[in-house]
Amino acid sequence: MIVVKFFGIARIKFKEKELHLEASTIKELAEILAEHFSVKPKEFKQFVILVNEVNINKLKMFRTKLVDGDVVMFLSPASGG
Amino acid sequence: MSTKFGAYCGKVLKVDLTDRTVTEYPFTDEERELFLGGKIMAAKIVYDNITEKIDPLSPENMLVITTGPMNAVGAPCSSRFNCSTISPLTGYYTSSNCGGDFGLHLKRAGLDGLIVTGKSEERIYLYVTPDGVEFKNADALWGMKTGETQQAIPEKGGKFVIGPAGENLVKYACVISGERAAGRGGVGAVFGSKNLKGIVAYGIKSPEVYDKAKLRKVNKEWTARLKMHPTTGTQLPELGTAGLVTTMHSKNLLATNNYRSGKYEHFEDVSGETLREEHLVRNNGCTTCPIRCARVVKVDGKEVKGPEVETLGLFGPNILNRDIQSIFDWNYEMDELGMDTISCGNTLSFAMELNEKGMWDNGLEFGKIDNIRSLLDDIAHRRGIGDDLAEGSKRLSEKFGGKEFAMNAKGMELAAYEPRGAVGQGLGYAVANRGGCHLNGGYLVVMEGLGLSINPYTTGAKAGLCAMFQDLMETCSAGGNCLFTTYAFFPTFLISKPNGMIARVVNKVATKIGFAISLILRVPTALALHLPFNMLPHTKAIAAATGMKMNFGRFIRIGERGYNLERLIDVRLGVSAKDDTLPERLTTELQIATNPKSKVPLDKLKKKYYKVRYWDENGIPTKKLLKRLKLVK
Repeated sequence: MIVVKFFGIARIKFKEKELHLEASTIKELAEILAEHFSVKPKEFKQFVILVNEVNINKLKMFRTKLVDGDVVMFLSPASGG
Repeated sequence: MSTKFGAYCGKVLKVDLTDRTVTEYPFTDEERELFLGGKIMAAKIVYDNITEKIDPLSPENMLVITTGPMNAVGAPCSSRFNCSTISPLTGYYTSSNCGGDFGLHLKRAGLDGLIVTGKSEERIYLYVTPDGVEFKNADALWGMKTGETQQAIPEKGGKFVIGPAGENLVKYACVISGERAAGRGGVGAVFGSKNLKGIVAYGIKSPEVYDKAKLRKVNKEWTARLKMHPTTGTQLPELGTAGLVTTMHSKNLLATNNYRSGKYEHFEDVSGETLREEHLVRNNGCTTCPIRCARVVKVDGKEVKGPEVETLGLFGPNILNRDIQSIFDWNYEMDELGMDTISCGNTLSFAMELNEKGMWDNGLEFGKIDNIRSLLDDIAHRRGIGDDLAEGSKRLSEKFGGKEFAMNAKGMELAAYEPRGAVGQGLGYAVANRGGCHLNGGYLVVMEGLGLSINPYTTGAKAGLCAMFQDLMETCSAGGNCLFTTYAFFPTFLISKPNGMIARVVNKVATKIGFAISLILRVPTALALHLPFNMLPHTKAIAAATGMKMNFGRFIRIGERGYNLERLIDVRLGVSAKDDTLPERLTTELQIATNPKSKVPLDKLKKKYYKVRYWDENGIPTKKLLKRLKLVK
């Protein structure tokens, strides 16, 4: 199972803290989540996505593979304070 | 004295507390064009009047409280005012910015600035109106906390007061207006040293502006833009600055265990998400602000201001505390006592590590929080170990050792961003004029992880970016706007599509554009940049309000002038390259054992920074630069 955690605006938007799902890539995960939340998969492109705390832009973006036990985090894209 | 420019009152008053005289201080239109207002105007006044090293708590020190042209003319996020002085914490120049309504009232009272010098024989507060300055007895107010003081002062208007920490000369005492603080650098102790409990300003007449219709249009568009921007329109209103905790943790930026780590396993407990879901009463904001990033939470059943990210970080992960309610309690208590939460939290974590290492038996332990609330009161009143803690981490390290893990720069404690996860921010902390301040340091961490994702470990272009953002924020602040308005510098598409092609390209190339940034910084004023799109709304608003010529080039040049002027004051007070430094932990110990780049390569960064700044190898601005900036003839 993949642990999916939502933070910041993602949590506010989807009203969900954490889900446990099966998916083999980030792209597939986005599609499953899109169906789950009744939104389009591209909705998930607006968030910073981390796999085991590594940004997918340092991995293979949406083609990044997932294995059992991976933790995927969706974060707000930006801020300062 | 009056002015040909709109949006200024054309008047600065100087109050000498020793002999109770009030005189008009000359500040010319030529100086307004060069120094704009706020912290840069204050730097000019301090530079012209403090010509040698002084004891910051002596009558020779001066408080320079200044407004900018954007105050009280309807611009968004424009209640920010400035209080500059020689810092008792660092011994160098400090400028402390505040969002309370005092600045608006000061300007409506007909003043662009108020200078306070000398020392009053009796305890007093000042009452400033368009009719002049009155000296009021403050014996009955002495000892009161900041909230009680503001309530007890009978005059109406904007209030700017100290609490017990300022009275007792705590080196990081702040000054409070409403619920907002001029927090950093110990400005409150300078008030206390002058027997000045506070200042009240009252006025109702805003200054005339140059082009009323145009300014109204610009302000309307500006407000709309802030509401549309993902940072100022969504993230900050929804989560406040506390919303950064999660991002900081995930990017190794969350100072933890006295900066021994950038991650905290219990980060969620002290996050903006937890604050919002379990504790938020409502949002709040400074007067004139459409962003409303402030949080209201409950302490002892009372609705009070919630903590900012720095306070959450330094009183949470950095002392291994996962109890968010305790941070609300202490945050409120520190505001009431009148002391800076950043310096206080950072000094506490240092004291805990000293105790852990057997260097100072003080009873303070990481994760032990039951004694903190009473300790805050002890600090403000200088009781027991509170007397030592009131001196800040630098002086503590001189007394007990541990300089290598006393997390300050030039004596000012660092904010909650762990710079080994963002080395450009590390450079900023080291070179910042007022010491270890995240904002005065250029706040590069926004590009290195909080907002954009440029390589946080490379030195490429960091020196130029650091200088550029220092200068931009300098002018923004001098104008009277909140620094959050500079997020407009980052186009919406860069922020809202972090995985998009453009953002990815920008993240890649941003560290390779050092040459281009150097060009921006070197363009002569006569050829000041006219960019084809409006990167910052500030330029249009300042032009419409004042009638000054303003574009991006002039805007950044004013900031550069201000930054260098502040540097000149510091140099006069003894600063040189040796002081632009960080605690050894950050430059020699790896934050992540498996990542050889996870420390701040400060020497390399500094060398580049001095070059970009046109400073010599000892960190002194060159004569050629000063001439170009019209700081010498």
